[in-house]
Amino acid sequence: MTGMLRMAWRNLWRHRARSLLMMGIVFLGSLVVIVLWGVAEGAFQSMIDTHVKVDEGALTLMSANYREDPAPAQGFSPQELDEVLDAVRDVQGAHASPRMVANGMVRSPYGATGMQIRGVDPAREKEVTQLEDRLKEGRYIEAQGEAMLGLQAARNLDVRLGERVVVNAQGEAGARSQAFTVVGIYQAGMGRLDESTVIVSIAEARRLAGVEGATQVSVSLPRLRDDARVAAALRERLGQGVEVLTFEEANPMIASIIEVNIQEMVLIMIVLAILAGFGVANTVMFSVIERTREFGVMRSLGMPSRRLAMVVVTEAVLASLLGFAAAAVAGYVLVLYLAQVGIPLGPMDALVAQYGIPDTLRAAVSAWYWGASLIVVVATAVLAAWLPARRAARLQPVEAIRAE
Amino acid sequence: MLNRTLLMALMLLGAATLASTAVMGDERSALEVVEKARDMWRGETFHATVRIEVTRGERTETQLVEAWNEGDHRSLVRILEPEEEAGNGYLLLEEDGEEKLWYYDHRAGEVISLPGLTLHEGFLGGGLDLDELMRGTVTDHYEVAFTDEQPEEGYNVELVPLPEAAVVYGKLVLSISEAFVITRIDYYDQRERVVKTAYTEDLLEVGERLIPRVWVVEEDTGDRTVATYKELTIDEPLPEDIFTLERLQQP
Repeated sequence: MTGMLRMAWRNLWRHRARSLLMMGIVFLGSLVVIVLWGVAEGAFQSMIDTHVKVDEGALTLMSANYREDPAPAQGFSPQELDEVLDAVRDVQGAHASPRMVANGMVRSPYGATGMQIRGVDPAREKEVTQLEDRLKEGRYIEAQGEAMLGLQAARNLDVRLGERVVVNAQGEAGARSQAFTVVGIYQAGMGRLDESTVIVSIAEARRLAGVEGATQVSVSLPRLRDDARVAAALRERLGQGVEVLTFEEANPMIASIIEVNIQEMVLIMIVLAILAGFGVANTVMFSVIERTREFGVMRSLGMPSRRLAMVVVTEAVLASLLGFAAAAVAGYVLVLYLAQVGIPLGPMDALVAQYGIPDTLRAAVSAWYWGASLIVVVATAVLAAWLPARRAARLQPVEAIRAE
Repeated sequence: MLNRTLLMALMLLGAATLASTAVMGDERSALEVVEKARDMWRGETFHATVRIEVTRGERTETQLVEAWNEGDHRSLVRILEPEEEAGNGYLLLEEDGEEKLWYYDHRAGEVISLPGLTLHEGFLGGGLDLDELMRGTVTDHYEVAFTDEQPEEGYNVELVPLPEAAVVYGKLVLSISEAFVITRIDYYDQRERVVKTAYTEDLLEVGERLIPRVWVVEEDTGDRTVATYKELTIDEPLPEDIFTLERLQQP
């Protein structure tokens, strides 16, 4: 085996230009895939990040009734809420934050906007979501009578930090209204949160909604990839009345966007692999034809035809691996650069913001697409070298030696 | 459904049947002036025909409505003009301590229940932002004081919302005539800027009351609302079945 490797390696450098050309083809194809995928992965990760870390936690628990009919009165009663919180407490490393969500209207002297009122317990909520990190101005709510607004909402209402807004809600016991001082303005990078959510204390949200308890419980987990397992355990414990939703289940739209985009990336990868594959096949085929005599001599000296074919395949694989390695180094640097600097999305930012993609997209490195690319590159090289290798294997030594 | 919000505001103009507020301390006189001006509007019942002109940007729409009102939470509004909307109406009732609002569309022949929130919604966009002024007692929501500049006749009174008051404005400055008629309200935002001004023109004598005939509300966006009372009676008995769904459906 090592003998063959050494032979293939030496052969490669006997025709330096041709080998470099072959590596170049693989290099370019791989680089395009790695960079494109890095950018796509950045988009996926920021979508998941925004949803899980800023908006809703890893798991969302709500009563089955509420999921059917999202009205505050359909939420968890205080007793049910206690049961849910107890259940989450038994999950190691998990934190739970009850929320009371209701629809209402936020008014400033300059206008009014329909918004979602999100009541949270500030101390508990901070253990689940890191909206605090996305504060543009001011601070997190601490006491009653304080509210946080998204940057877009604050702009739409022309509200500044320290000013007062009035929240109206159609509660279970009639219309209620209450004044809040805006103590924080955040930019979560997500349309729903930035444009149409006002965050207040859960006690006040309950009063506005005219309901006790909570409409949902958001749960953070130490490792996001445990979500399905923990969700299953919680479902078992809490029974049919409680829905336990993972990120994918709570955001079917985002999950399908990611899935479709991955499929697209795979398609792009395959198309590029085919193009690069033809380039490699072409180059290898020429190198085989050129060496007809040489191969003839090797065969007559007793080299088995299978081994000869393997040498040709190994050459192609080696060249491709070198091309890929170069692409990996360059791609890594490029992706890191794009992760650091980010790609400003310009006028598209409003469009993507609704999915939780920030206005500057940061590329991300993820082992799995590198691995996938590597496998595709090797497979392509083997396939591309197949025909030339077969030709080499089928050479008749006597005729080959005579060939000009 | 032009401006149901404004209609609600008008209902409430007549709706303030509230006990006088306990008067305290230094603000006695300023508060008294406001209370007296509010008394002008107060009555058990209220019946009026009003022309409402709303200008938003380039567009002006005009409606003629007839409104009946009793107490705080019983109102019927019937649209008389424009023709295509004539016969439609709104009914506001309080049931089990909850405000209920219905809309009747004569073409559909159907009564639609509207969320009570519409009521509040009204007082922001609709122009006539009197809800905060007329509902509840003044001292529940405001610190009342005379301003530093007093006119030769009448009073200038400043209403500053209490911290917990559900009021979006920074303050309201009321000009009240010697006869205790509100002639002007300046609505300030929380940055000391006037964002809206309401002023009155002409006076109607209704019994012993003096009621402005025309209310003009100008917002700093350029939007403008003019309400002109054609007829107005206060404290006259109303038909007994006026605040019923049946009546709402019989224009």
